[in-house]
Amino acid sequence: MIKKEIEQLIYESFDRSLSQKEGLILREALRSSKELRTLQKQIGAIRRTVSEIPKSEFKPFFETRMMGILKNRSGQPAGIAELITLSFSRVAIAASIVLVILTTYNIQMGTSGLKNNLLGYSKPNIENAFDPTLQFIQK
Amino acid sequence: MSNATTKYYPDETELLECCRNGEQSAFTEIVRRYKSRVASTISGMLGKGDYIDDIGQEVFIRFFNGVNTFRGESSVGTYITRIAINLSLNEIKRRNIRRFLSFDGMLEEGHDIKDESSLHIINEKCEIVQKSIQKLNAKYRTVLVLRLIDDYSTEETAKILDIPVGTVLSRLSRAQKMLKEILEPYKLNYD
Repeated sequence: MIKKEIEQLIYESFDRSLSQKEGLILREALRSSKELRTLQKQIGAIRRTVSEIPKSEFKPFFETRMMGILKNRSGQPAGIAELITLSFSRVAIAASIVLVILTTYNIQMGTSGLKNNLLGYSKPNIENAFDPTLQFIQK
Repeated sequence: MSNATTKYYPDETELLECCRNGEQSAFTEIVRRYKSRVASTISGMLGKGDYIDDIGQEVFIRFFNGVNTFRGESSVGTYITRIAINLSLNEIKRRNIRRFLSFDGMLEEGHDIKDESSLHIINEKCEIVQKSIQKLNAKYRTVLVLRLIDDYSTEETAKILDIPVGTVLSRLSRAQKMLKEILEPYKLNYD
């Protein structure tokens, strides 16, 4: 077994029971390598320290506050703003993505200045310059 | 929600049924039973702070809203822990977006534990380890918190996250390797 696999066994030995064969291999490897013994000790110590991290608690009267909130909410229909947010959030995200893609595309493809490119304006050609209907469109 | 006097619920099925019927005492009992576990999960995932109460409240509100659709395939504890994990992951995503948009990350770097001058402030071993856990990628952090801080078995962790036990084991190994690397510069004395 290569060293990497032995190391993996060391890590896993803390979370599952090894098979007889794996146990034998690990014991043998640990017996012959100081480096692996140090690793096993380090992992054990780190795990101990992690499990010793003081547990957090909610502020006092959490249950009372919680029941107050639940009482207020029960039987109340969701607010209009909440409903709109829920209904349209996905649409808004999709629209934003499309907008970004189009803007990027316009910037990439255009050659007539950043502002025009962002808005998707095309460069006027000679026909448009003399098109008498163009002034109405621009107004 | 109907008011009720304090009642003892030895059986989880009965407790759940009373919750579905809107009995206030059943909800209080759920909050009482699982609040410590929820607080521990959230603080493990996000570190300590005032937001723990807000997210904790949201966890129980979600449970309250979803109690009628909860089919009881897992225990109430597993279900609530799953909600706590999901809300913590949402918060991590929100923080990452905020950091990306407002350069909060650069400000936070000022308190980075790699900063030698901050080491004398954060001199407690547990605090260093806790800060280091916050540096882990969310999926590795989740298994580490559930297994080592909340003390769930690998099977329970797999059930909560709805992933195979093998994945839990490999993520756990990876998480510990990363944590060991993050902690290496501090040369902590574990004895």
